[in-house]
Amino acid sequence: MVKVIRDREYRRYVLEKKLYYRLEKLTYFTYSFYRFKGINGYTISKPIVSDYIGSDSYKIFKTISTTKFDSRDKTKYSPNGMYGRSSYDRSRKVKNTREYDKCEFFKLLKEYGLK
Amino acid sequence: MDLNDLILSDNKWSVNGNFLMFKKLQNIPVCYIEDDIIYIFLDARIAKEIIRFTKSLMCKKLCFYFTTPKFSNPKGVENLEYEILYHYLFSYANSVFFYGFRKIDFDLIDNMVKWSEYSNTFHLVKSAFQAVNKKVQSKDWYPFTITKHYNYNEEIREDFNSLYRHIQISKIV
Repeated sequence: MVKVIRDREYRRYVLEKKLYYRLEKLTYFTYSFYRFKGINGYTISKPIVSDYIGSDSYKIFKTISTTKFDSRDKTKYSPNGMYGRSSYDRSRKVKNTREYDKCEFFKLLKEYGLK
Repeated sequence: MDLNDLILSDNKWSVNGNFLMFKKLQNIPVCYIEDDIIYIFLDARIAKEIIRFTKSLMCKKLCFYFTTPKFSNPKGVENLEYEILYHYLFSYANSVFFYGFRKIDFDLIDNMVKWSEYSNTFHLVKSAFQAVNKKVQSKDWYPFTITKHYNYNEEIREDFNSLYRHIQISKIV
């Protein structure tokens, strides 16, 4: 099975999708006595998702990785990182990858006594 | 003049009806055209794109003014002229617009005075300025450690102290 590497564009797309899903939940309950005040300085009685851009909840939701306990520390959709840390990592045995080249480089350093 | 000519080189810009849109989670209106004058919504949600867009209009040497993003709502706005002037000054206090427009050598206050002369609403400028200045200069006291806390930084607050003079000079010039 060929492993598809998730690039930066794909990760951005997933983050945006997740952010939209989280912000949409806030719009379900808008019957607050203190109405929502957006970044433009005026109150909105029934805000939609785009009204939350720039608010505190927008910044908080963007930084959270996941909400599930089992995948909280995982680096999702990224090929970089330690081997075996997440299922999306590249193997060190595959040639022409950054991880393979790094291993080979450290072997050479040990041979010549530089490390 | 057509809205399609104003689109910048990016996939996120589109035209929907009378508005030029920019996509950030959802489509947010950027500008519309009325009587060959471009009206840009001074929206803090897409502040960087608005600055980039004004820079492109300055290079093309087109006539443009700013409006409040409230006006994009089909419900409409009460006291539209006052709301626009208030939003001009409120956005001037926003740090992203304040330093962003300074970087591209664009005078927002001069543009506001030109719009007020165009729509004969200069008499509303002073009341709008007083309302925004009160908000900018306001401070909170922390109860236990007796220290002041301002919502706006020192450079913006000092600029607002001499801003009304700047408005009067730009009207004379």
